[in-house]
Amino acid sequence: MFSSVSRADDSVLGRWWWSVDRTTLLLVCLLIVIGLFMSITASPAVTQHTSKGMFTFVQKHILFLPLSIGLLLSISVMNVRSVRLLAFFAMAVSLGLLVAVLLVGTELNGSRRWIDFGLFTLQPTELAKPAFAVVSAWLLSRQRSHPETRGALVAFGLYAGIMVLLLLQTDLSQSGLLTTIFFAQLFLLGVSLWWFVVLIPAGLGVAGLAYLTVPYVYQRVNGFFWGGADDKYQVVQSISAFRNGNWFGRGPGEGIQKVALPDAHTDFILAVVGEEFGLFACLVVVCIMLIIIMRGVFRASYARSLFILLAIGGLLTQFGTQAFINMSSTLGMMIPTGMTLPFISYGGSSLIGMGLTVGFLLALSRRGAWENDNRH
Amino acid sequence: MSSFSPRMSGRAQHFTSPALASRLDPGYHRSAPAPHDYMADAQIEAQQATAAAASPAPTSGFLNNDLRIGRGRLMLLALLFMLGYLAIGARLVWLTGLDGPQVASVGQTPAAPVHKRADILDRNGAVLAKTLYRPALVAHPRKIRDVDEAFSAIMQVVPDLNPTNLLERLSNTDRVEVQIKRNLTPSQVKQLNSKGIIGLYYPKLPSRHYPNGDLFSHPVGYTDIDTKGLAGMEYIFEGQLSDLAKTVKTSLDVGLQYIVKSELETQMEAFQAKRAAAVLMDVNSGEVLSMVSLPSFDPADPTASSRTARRNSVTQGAIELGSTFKLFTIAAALDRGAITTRDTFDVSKPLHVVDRVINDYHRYTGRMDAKHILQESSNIGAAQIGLQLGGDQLRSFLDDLGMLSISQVEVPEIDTPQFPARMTDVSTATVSYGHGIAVSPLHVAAGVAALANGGIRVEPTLLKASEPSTRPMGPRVLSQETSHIMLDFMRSIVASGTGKKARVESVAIGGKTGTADKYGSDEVVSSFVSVFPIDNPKYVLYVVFDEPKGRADTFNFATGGWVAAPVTCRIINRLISPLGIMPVRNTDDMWQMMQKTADSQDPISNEPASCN
Repeated sequence: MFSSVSRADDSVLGRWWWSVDRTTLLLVCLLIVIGLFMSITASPAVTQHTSKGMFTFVQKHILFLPLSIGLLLSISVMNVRSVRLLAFFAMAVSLGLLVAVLLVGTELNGSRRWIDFGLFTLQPTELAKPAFAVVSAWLLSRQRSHPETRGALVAFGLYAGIMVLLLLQTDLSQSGLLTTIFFAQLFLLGVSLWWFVVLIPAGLGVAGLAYLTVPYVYQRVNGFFWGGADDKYQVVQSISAFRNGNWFGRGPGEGIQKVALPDAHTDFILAVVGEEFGLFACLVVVCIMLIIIMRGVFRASYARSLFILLAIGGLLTQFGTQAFINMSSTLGMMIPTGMTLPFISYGGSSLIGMGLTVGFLLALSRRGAWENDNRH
Repeated sequence: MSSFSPRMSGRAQHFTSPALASRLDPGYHRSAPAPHDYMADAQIEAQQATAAAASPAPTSGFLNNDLRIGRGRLMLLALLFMLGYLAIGARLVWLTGLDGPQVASVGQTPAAPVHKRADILDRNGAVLAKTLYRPALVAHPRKIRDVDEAFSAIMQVVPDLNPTNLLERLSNTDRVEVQIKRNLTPSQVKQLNSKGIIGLYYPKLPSRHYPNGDLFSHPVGYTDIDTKGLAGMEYIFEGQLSDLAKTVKTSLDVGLQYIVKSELETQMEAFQAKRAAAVLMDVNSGEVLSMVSLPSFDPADPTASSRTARRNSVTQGAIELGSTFKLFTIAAALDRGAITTRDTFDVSKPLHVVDRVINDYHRYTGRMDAKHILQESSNIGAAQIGLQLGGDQLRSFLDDLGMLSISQVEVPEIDTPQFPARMTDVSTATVSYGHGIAVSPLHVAAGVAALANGGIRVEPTLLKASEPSTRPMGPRVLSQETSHIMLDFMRSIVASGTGKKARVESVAIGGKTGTADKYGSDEVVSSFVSVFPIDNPKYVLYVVFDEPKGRADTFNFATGGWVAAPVTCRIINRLISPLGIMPVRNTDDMWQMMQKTADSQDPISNEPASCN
């Protein structure tokens, strides 16, 4: 169908088709299909412990998917200016929501990070991350083109503000991710590497402080490094799921281990992939993630605008780090944190947030995107 | 990396040439970019076309410095991600593909018992403990549609449940599963099932059953609700029973145990004793045929009884057991050559040892030899023999008998023997007649078994010997000759000494009474140890009563002779036939003849053996 779009097609769709990163688009579609399939096989394993219907999570996943895909596609058509406007808007909304969470947030699984909208609950952090990546990229690039605007200072203020809000909900993993995005952008901006000699130990110092002061962090860290099988129950279950799957998996829906795996539909979805579809399927997922990152890097590397380079760099850092943290904690390489696997994990907020992230990514990585960015 | 970027950007120029850009994006002109941008692009394209594609130089000259640094660092970032994802890939391959699926079953939690816990059997194969699977009532509160309906249905079928507790459990939706009741009858399951309530389940759960009730509570022990051994042999053989699913064949005997327990119970009640214990042991193999501790408890519901009831008085409770120890003192003295059977000792006046005065129950006149000291159970005489032997010799003899070390018997309920750290004259004198030393009744039985079996130490065991042994296996602790002398002494104690009330009608026995004052009270521990048949010893029976009260018909006596000896007689009377002991036909004649030969100081008694 798409092949019938002529290169000379002057319509919005035609221009979009020929300029958008079709490889990434295809890979994201693949992730969405995998995610849909995985929600079908993981949902009963999770709901059987609850009063929910067997396919509750499938239904919700299907409900959020069009929203996410719609967001993704409509953003990817936008020009740079609109993307920036949308990012500012999303940033404002998510800042508002982050404040609202502190006041009227809903508790779920022991933390207060969600806002209940009746029909669905929303985790504002998921929106804040892509919005921040774009906004901060713009502010930082302004610092270079118009130093008098003190964009870097504003960006740092924004970063600090979101950090305070995240730390108030004691959401350490998300604040860590936000820090990673910001640091990566500073790095790309060409900040002297000496800064990182200061900043990275400072970050580690904050992490150490969190270990000493926040009880759940203390427990998780201790459990991971020195705990017995009970303390790292999830990781033990997850690893045996991978082993159970072996090379080719037990077959769709044939997983046994997934039943014993808490959060099989969200944080530990890769273990279900491993158990039912085997090592090769997991490697395919890892490859898809990596190719998406490399495609983004490839596109960003010939962007002629610092803003686009920083924004894509930030968005890729968000996407790549999140996937990395999710996969490595599922594999017991790292302390489990509440990170979702892009498009595969269940989670409405995560799907919408990812729609936003990849939408921005596709829009900014379109060929010639920087040329209609009149700010340069 | 450095060659990567320019080449790519070179290709990109085709699409970003001003002409193409303006064609593709009508808004291009509207947004009015600066004209020199066009020029720059055109120049780059021209340069790219002529310059070598691999060289990074051309682009850098035309790009602003920030972009150049940014691209370089972007490559570093990409490298970092590549390394990270490579690590994930490697971990995946190592974990899944190469490390293999060896722990594939970890997830089936909670781990269902692989084997059914094996039975515990008596020496003839009768079941002492068995695991049966019986339906339990389990509810999944989240699946129950109508709590009230479920509640009334359950109460109707199982009325003995606590209603408030039940209602609370059924409506506790925080929990996936709540257990309501174990061990439902099949008819209860059928009734409940036919009510068609969603959310009720009847999983078959293992439970441990003891067909003999409280007959073997102490040696066999009990398990927790999940059939994990908590006490007795259930605890000791946890591995064999549950992991290997291999039955435990004990040395115990249901029939003998029943006889011993019922006689012991009757006597304990008659003398209002606080506790009672009895052990019947094979003198050659050390096999325990019967082990009774009273009061007993229900092993199916051990927590319903007090902790003291769950104490095993045979293996636990290191207590001072009194005069029975005179057997060991005299055996040691004879065996180590400290005295001969002809030596006599002055028992006419209290014995002063340092600051202690040692007395007898009765005042005797003149001197006594070892045999009469035992017959009359003279503390004064025993203490003198002990002192003549010497504390260290006495102690090493007791040690040889196994009296001073922790018992190796197969129950966890054991106590450490207590004895003087240093054998001073006072402690030697008191240990000689069984005070100042505290061991379990099982220790005494094993020690007497060694005296009776020809002088070989035996280790008490609750496991059936693989083959019946007629000869004891173990280190020799005293000579055959001493053993014979001791058997003769024990026979004379029953024939005409303090153990007369143990005289059995049709089998010759030997024994020794024991009456120990409980420290700091007027109460006593009364016991009797017997060996039978005395002319060819096979069994030792030790009976102990804790704090028996004297009765009018015993002239208020509660000594070993009055309390423990008669019950020994009754028990052995009933054991003769199940143990297959050949009865002696000439009943009372035998005892009278023995009495004459015993050369007692007491007048000859003509009372018949009637176990009174």
